[in-house]
Amino acid sequence: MAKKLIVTIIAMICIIAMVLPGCGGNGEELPSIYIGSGALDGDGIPVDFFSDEDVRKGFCYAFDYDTYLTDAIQGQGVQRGAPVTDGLYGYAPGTSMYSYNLTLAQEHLEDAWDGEVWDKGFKFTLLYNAGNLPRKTACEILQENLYNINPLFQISIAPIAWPTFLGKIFGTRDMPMFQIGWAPDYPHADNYIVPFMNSHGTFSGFQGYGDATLDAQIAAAFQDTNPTTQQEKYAALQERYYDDAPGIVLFQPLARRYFTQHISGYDYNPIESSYAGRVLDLSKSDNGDDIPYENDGIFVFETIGDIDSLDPAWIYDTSSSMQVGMVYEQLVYYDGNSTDTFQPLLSTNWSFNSGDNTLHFTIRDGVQFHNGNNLTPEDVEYTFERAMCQDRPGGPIWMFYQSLLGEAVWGYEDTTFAAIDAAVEVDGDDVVFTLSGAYWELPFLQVLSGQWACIVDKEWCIAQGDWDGTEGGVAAVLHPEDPGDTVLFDLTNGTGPWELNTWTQGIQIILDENTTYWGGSVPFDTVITKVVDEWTSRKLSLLAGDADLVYVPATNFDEMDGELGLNVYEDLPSLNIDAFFFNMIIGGPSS
Amino acid sequence: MGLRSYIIRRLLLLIPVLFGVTIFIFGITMLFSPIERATLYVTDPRQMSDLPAIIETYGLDQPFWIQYSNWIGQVFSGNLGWSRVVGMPVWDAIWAFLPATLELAIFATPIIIFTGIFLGSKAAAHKDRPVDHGTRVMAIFGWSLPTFWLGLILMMVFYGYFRGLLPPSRLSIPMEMVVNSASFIRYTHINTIDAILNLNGAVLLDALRHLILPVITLSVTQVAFIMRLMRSSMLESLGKGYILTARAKGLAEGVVVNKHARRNALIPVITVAGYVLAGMANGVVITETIFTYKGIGWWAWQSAVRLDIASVLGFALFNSVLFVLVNLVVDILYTRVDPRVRLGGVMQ
Repeated sequence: MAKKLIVTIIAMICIIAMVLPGCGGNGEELPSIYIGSGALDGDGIPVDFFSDEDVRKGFCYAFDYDTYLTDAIQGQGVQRGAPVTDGLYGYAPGTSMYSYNLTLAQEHLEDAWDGEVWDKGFKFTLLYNAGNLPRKTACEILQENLYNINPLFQISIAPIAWPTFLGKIFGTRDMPMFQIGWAPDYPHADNYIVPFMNSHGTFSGFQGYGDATLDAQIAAAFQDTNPTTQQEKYAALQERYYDDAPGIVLFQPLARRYFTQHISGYDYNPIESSYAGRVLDLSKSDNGDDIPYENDGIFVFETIGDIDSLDPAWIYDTSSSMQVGMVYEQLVYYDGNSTDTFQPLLSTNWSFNSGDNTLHFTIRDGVQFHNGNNLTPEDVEYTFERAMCQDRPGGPIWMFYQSLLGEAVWGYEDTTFAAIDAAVEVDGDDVVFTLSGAYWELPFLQVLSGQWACIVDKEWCIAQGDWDGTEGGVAAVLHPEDPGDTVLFDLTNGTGPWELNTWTQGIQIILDENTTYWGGSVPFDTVITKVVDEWTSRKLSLLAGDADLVYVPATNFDEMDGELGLNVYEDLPSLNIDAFFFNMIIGGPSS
Repeated sequence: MGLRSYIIRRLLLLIPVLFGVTIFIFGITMLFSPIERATLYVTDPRQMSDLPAIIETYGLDQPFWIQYSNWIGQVFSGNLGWSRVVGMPVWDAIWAFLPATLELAIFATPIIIFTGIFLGSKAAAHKDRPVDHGTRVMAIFGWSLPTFWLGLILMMVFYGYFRGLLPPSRLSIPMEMVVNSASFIRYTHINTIDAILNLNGAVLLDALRHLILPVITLSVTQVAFIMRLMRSSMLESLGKGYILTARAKGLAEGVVVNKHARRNALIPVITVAGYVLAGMANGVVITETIFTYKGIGWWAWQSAVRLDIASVLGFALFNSVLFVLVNLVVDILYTRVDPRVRLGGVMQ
């Protein structure tokens, strides 16, 4: 028996060894299996098919935007002409938009590739991430309309798993077109223009769009400190996206929130990471009996997906940001619904000195951390230096580096400890940030409003074994691999209205009221966030009053229409954007 | 060779089994490109441009053997890796999620096995009579019910229609607060057992209320399965010569059926019941997900969906150990029901 087993294992090893080398590259073959013959002969497309502007514009005119918005996403979105969405600083409302126009589509496609496209036709495969119905519908709309223009235009559609899909965009680059969304780090046009238009952008870099001239224009727009001319430059860039048509911009989604009738006070800010908005603004009282009134004094939120970490310098996802935002606080935060004006939080006021690009914050007096320690300017300095010395790979800290140390600096390896140390300094009761340029004033305040900029307690952190505040201690904390590698992963000591009771990973987080909160009364004794994957379960919990708010996917909005006893907030514009991208060098530049 | 050496030999077999299983799973995951495996570390589309850095950090583009030996090295130093899905070490995740599954198993297993055996032998003893027809129809119905459908319907009726009657998750919020308080000692993390040990009736009742629907959902299919197996096995032994002898010597029908026929018919059922129990560790995925009764099946499924390789490997290790152990227990049980089976005999 043992012999048989060993033979089996050896056989398996051989199989794996044989399979593995075969997965690498395909040698001389075509860079993609989705482009048919790889030539413009009616049976495929060449790798640079979409480098012809007429092809791209023809596709843009062939998309039926209205049908898509009403049928595929049930009216939960607004069409946009360029990736910069309404609500972002720098958004240009007048940007041209493509409309559904088969005549214009035909004209462009007749001109494309000197008429060859029209005469011979094309065939390729359009992939979407499996399970995403709106994206599938978008593919079908394009497929059908192009076929109607010319029956030689043939697109086949195939689903593919999400990890593979991402791998194809950023790795093999073998999809002729792809559809994906974008969400903001900070609500500034630059955060959209760069990924969509810079020659090294997250999307444009991989689709082969952009050049040095355009990059220079993008930088010029960002670095303009005159708001009027800056706005003009951003408007020109958005119009440029329309003219170049490197993608089909689809829509800016509209969100909804379903609370029970017992919750009031919700105020929507599009850049707020927390699905529940600022929980401090909410309140709960018995308000009718369509839904039973349960769990007095407790706010229960059921959502999908657990948090990554409770370490402010680690988090880069909305679930974690929501929890960190209740336990910790930033120096400033967005004022009401605004995305470019701010209110003081742990600072009392701030001023910008354009002479030396310094931003001075006066730190609020009389604020205590949950353990009773006082908030000091040293804590603020430590917070930012700690984040930069930790510099989690794939995390949010690149924003600190960019704004404080210059656009060439993306992480710890691009700079020195001395530079990090000098960027944030204590000056009496103040903390002084030296920005890399005067134009960073607004975007830096936006970065400071993110939950990654929440203030931690220096003395307590060091006592827990976190970074000791010296250059020599950096090696021990730099580039953590797993969330649990950082001390603040599940230990918290913030100044926020709630403190951590328990985090049962994968299941729920329970926060208890901070009874000595500096900001006054706190609306809930306890806030519970439960991870519930099953939609029916979440829906029934809400209707039974066991949850006060649940995550409702856009595809289930219809189902909620007839339900009684809900406080529904509709048509809340997100800052996200969804688009098709044309891949202008399928398979990537040949090496 | 005695029983002890037999057990030791079987346990030693675990080593090649575990080696084979992990190398196989590791090999399969290597069929995904490094970039696909790197997407596990990305929780937000904003991070996608960091994928090359992530691949570099985690060495995802290293050759198979290097990645595998790194992992094995880690395992020998007691580190199974980090479970991204639930944000804790894999080893901790196994122990954190096992109690919920065990709690389901503690209630479901006796129901499945005893009901299955009881109904199966009843049906066989009354072959082709109404009792038999009735149980057979029930079995076909139960066996063909999709679990997710049954679970959702049960929840819609007993949580939706009868608002809040039998809720999902493991405990209601007030009881959750009790369990999380300092005065409640969590000995096992199995809520019902902890409630009894803490002499807390309210928690016990609440835990039971949350168990009813998942246990029913989990049991229906399996009862049907055991019942059908028991029925055919029983029919076979009822046709044997020794049953004729027993009847011929004038034994009461009850003794013939319950003692002579049933005991012999149990052997295949015990084999299968062992696997039903072991398989519960992964077969509860749907039940655990629908009722938010998060156990090890839910965790393994989430890990597989999100390509969380460390978790999948950890779960595979755990499951292999479990299967080998269950197999061993089943073998020992054989000797109890069938004296002809002797363990540790001459090796063939």
